Amino acid sequence: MKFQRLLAAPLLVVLSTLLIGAVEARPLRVGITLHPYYSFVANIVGDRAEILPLIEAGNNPHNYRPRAEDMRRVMNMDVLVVNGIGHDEWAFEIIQAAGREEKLPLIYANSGVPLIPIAADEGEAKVVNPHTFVSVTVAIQQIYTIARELGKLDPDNAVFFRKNARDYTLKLRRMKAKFMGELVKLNTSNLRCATMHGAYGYLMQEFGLQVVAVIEPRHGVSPTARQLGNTIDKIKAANVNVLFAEKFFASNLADTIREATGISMYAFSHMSDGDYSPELFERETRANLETLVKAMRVINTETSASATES
Amino acid sequence: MSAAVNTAQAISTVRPRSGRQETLTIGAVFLGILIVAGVAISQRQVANPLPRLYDWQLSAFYDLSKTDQAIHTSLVTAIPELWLLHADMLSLQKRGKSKETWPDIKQLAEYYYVAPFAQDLFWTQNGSVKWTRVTAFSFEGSTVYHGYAGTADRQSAYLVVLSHAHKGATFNSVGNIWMHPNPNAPAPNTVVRDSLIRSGWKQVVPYSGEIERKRIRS
Repeated sequence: MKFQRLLAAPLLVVLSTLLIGAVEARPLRVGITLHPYYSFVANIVGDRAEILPLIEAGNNPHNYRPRAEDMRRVMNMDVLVVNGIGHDEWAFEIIQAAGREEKLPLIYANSGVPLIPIAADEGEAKVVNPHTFVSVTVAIQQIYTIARELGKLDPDNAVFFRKNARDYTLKLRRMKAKFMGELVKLNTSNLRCATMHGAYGYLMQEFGLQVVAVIEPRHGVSPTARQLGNTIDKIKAANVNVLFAEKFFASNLADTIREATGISMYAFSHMSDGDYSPELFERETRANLETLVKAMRVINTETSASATES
Repeated sequence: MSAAVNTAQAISTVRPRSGRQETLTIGAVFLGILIVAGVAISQRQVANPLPRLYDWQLSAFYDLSKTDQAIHTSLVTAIPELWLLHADMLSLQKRGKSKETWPDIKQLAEYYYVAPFAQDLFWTQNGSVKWTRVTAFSFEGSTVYHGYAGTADRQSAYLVVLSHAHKGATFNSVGNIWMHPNPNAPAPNTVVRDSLIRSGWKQVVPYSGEIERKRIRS
């Protein structure tokens, strides 16, 4: 009996050590709220962390209502990467409902991002644009923030995360440079563009293009008939010649605007559709930049034609 | 006669009620409500998360033209990139493989494609600003990138001041952005704050996601 007692104590110590080791060795479970954050985290952590989307793919993040299964998912996360400036407010409802407000570390991807207003009109009240993920330049800022904060939670992999972040951002920057190279050859001085949704302010800003008007009066809110009429007047007054709408956007509103104004329309990705994947951000950004180049080529041709006529 | 006297004695003066008591009561109730509401409102007031700016500062969100705002956004993103490249170059210098410790404009523009230094569409659309790296401040422990001669409407001149207070924390993003209303303002001789202010430079304060987060959650 005495021998058994003597044996039990070291055995317990060994078992506890093994258990603690097993827990520590478990890769970090990183939660994300929006599609681009899945891509950012996947490219930073490689195979050294697990990524858990907070909500299932296929839901619209603009009007998402939390569900019971979201709470189960949030319980399994070690950390959650959030937009935190208005595009994933439902995440905070889920965290609160799951009782993890004090226990779940949050990475605010936008903490160091200089925000710009959503309103295109300088005379209007300035409202923060939360779509910092639909842009290469501002995405890079977020990638560095996420890599730094994940490195604090997993110091053994901090150098690995940082290196991956740098490689990924250079890859993104090179992609942007390729399209910049195409755009710089075109004469875009006649471009006067409007966007259907406020999502593309950062994207247009990084290409030096200014948005004259945003059609939706507020984020995710369709304009009333009167607001639509005002917008059509604004488009005409500002001599807008291109409207960028959203992929999968209900086209009746866009058709009304096109018929009333005669402007060209193109569709951008909001990056919140389809399955979560490491490649999504690059793929959708490339598609957006191809669309931009296509629109600019049309503007360039029109500009050249009008120059020839005059 | 006696009847008249009796009548006079029987008359008593009835004064109309002035309602003074009710007025006082209602007034007191109103006052009470006002006091309670005032205290409740003052308790519920949220501290304004916006940084209080001095007259030598500008808000990147409210005070800048669209061109200056675009250049500011790109500079804020360039700052962590500059620090990372600085760390790489310090490491190369220790191994005798580099004389420089900060990237020059050519490296930033042509190899790393860092905006606003790269001469791309962003650059042409935002005034084709000329950039130089100013190394004369090394004795003050700062490295400065100076942007000038921009041609866009309401364009400023720019300074990015990278302070060497980062020692031991190379993966950090310490840097200040200053703007001057004259797009051709020359590079200053010193980056001491008071001297910059006297020369007409204004520090740009970003409206960061951190401030917005506090505003939403407070």
